[in-house]
Amino acid sequence: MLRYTVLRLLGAVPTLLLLVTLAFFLIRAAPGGPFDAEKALPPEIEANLRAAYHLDEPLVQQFVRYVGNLTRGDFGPSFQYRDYTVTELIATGLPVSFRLGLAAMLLAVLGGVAAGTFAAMRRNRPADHAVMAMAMTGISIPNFVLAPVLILLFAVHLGWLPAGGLGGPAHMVLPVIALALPQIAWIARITRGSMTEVLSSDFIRAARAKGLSDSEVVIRHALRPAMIPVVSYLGPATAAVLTGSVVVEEIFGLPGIGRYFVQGALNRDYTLVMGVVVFYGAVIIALNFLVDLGYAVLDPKVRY
Amino acid sequence: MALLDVRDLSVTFSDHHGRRRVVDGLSYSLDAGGSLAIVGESGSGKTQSALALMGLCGPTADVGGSVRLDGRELLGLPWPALQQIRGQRIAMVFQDPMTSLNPYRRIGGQMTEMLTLRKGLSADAARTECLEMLEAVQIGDPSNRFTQFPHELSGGIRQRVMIAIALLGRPDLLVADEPTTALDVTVQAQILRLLADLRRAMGMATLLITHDLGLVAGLCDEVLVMYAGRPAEQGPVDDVFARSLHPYTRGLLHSVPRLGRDPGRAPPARLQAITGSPPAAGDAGPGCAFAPRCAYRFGPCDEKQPEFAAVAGSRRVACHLESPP
Amino acid sequence: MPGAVPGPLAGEDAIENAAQGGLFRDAARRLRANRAARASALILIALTVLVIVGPWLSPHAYDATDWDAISQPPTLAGQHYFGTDPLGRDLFSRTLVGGRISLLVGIAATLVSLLIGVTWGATAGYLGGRADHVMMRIVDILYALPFMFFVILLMVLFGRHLVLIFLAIGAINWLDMARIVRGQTLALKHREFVEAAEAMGASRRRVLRRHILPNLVGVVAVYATLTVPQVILVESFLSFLGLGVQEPMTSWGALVNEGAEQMESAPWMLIFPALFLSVTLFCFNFLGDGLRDALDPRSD
Repeated sequence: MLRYTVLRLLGAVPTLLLLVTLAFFLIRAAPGGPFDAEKALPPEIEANLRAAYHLDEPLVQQFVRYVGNLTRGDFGPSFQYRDYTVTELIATGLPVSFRLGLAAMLLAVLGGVAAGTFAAMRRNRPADHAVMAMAMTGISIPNFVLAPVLILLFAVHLGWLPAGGLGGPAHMVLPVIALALPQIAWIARITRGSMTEVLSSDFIRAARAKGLSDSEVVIRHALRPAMIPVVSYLGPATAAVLTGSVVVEEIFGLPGIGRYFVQGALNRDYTLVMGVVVFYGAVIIALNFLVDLGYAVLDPKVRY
Repeated sequence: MALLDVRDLSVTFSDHHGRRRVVDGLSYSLDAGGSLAIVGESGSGKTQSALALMGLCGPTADVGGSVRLDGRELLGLPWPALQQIRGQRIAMVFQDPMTSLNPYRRIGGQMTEMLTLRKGLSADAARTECLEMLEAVQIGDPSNRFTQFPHELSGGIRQRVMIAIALLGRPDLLVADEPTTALDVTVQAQILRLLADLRRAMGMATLLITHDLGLVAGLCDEVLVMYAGRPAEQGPVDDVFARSLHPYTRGLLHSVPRLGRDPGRAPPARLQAITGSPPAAGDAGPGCAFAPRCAYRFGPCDEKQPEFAAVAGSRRVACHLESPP
Repeated sequence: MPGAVPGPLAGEDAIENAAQGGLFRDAARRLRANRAARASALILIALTVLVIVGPWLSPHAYDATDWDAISQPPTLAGQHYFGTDPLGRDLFSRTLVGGRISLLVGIAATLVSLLIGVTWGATAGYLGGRADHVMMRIVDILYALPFMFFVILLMVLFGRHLVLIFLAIGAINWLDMARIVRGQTLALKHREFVEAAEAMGASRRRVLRRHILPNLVGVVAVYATLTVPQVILVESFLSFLGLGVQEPMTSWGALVNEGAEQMESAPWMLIFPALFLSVTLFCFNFLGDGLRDALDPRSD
């Protein structure tokens, strides 16, 4: 187990390096620079600026410097917010994004597994068809459509919940739902499929023969094997939630990492955009690693 | 009063292809402590007829007729009532111990749950009882087995565990569905021996489901032969073996290899196979389902299904030869 | 093609084609029996026709300002069926024109991902061994990258060009396709008719083209149908962020963005494009599901 963990961690290094390399050279290959907006910069000032950001060094040297800084958790200075480093900006947005993302993932897994299990237990009956039709609707409505519709309905018309901004738990309800709903739908579909298969296996019939009730059979015997495909979906789900959080933070005016990312993208703040790409990339890679360890927890036959 | 009284049991599966009746007109009764073997080829409906007793045929099945346990009707019983019957009144040992144990859970949890959930035992008391039961089915080092996963055990040990689980509820009736089919030949004999001993020790009734007539003699007093979902012949094992009334039973007996251990009876010159193959369940025409393969077929066989009628003493048979229409 | 003998290969094609014909006939029958999938297909056809023909029939150009109707709610009388935006532009025309872009991007980018994914997957699966291992390892590594962020990065860096959108989206969606096609190819490789063709001396290229690729049609069709809505979603996402098509041209994502900004004063600006986008995604997903069920012989 320890050996596998170490190997797997080492295996993540090339992926991370590829991520950084791709991002770095893409940015350097882009036409135009970060100081284009301020057109009338005198040449000597621009030269000073370039020197300050090490843009006058050879490309390879810049790359090595960047990677070296990254290993110390330093994403470099922001081009746009001159007084802040990218690390500081990410650290400012992280608590908001982390809370939002974690709540959405928890809701997605709990809601999706519950809905999928419910459908599988009533396979081919009206309740099953209803849940699956709702799931199909859920995966077909993108979060950036869902979010404004939720605001229109629950904040503007009904006035039950705040439309945006930071605040108490009530402020998080709509953003979390907007972010989680498509993932609830995906996880419900995956769970229904795997649960249906598990429920038809011999050991489920044997458990019923012991006198266990439907819910006991599901909770004690079926849930664990049925969760394996759900766990392997957690990687893509995290990627989708992180991506979705970009628009959801924007729509609800939450000062998270995604909002900085969008602002950075629109302002050509290269270091900020790249910092977020690398950071979220690392989060996704880390989660995929946890997913692999998760298999070992769920399936006793998987031993590393 | 008989412990188990099955009357005109039928199991029908319906899907978008139509309806298939896999068990039809099955009746038998079993006394407390008695033993009955239901014998048939695969697809003869024997397994479904056993699952039907406990309401385990699945949501797509339609079960008809009557199943009475101590005079109480089981068919149509609500789930909570069935949960008190399953495991505690009727327990089941399944065919394949590889797939009938949950591969994701340790043996201990799979054993104790029935005692803690249905019988309200404390975790400690359940554990003690389970360890005793593992001893009873002759599994060495029970406390170690307790923490193992099914894939860490051999097939024979797994089937012993399944038997131990079935016996935990002290059932009045043990249903064993092909309990040795998935096992090595040497292990088969041990498991059968164990089942016979336990039956005697615990005084429970046994319903053995098998395709192998050879197993029946050592374990059961009574035998019921099924063909294409319907009963063909029933009677005490010795009588049926000595003089079978249904041509299908005779065919089955001739296809069992024996090593001259019956000096009183001349062994058949050679093993005989029954020609042809059984119809898919539910495909039978108006006549006797066995007629197309039967060497004694005559007029009424193709026109009318024979009644499953009582003949000489305690025997019953469904054949126009024995009870002409 | 040294060693290839044209003669005996004709027969083996005939057998295989017959088997495929049966498979596809069954699938077509199952698909027709699936009411949800059939309705989805009809809606998609109707939507496509509407999106292509509609803007010509509409009395208002998508980028023309009607000074008498600024932010007008939907009416039949003024012929602004979906209302107008704050610039007095007809939302009906804009929704349909935006639909052209969304569908065009959806289909074009799917074709790009199809081309890369099928080639990559079929080659890896067919070659097997080391080549397969290396090729699929590359797919694994790429899988771990946060692709949406890369596309955003690309858009930011290289401008918001329609062709670039096709390429970028197509290039990120080929990974799943490559994996699925590789799996299918591996399975097919060991089927009798492929081994027979190889035994008869057909070259690798010929086996790949004549035998493997045609048999992938089913799974590729399913996956392509399910990729189109994903791609439309990505394009809408980019347009929503203001990184997609540029004014006055529009797409459903851009319209939803404008609608979200005006939703309190002009909710129709949000509702109509949102509805078109969601219904389209819904129908493609349903059709893809139906196709998958139809091509799966076990589902019968």
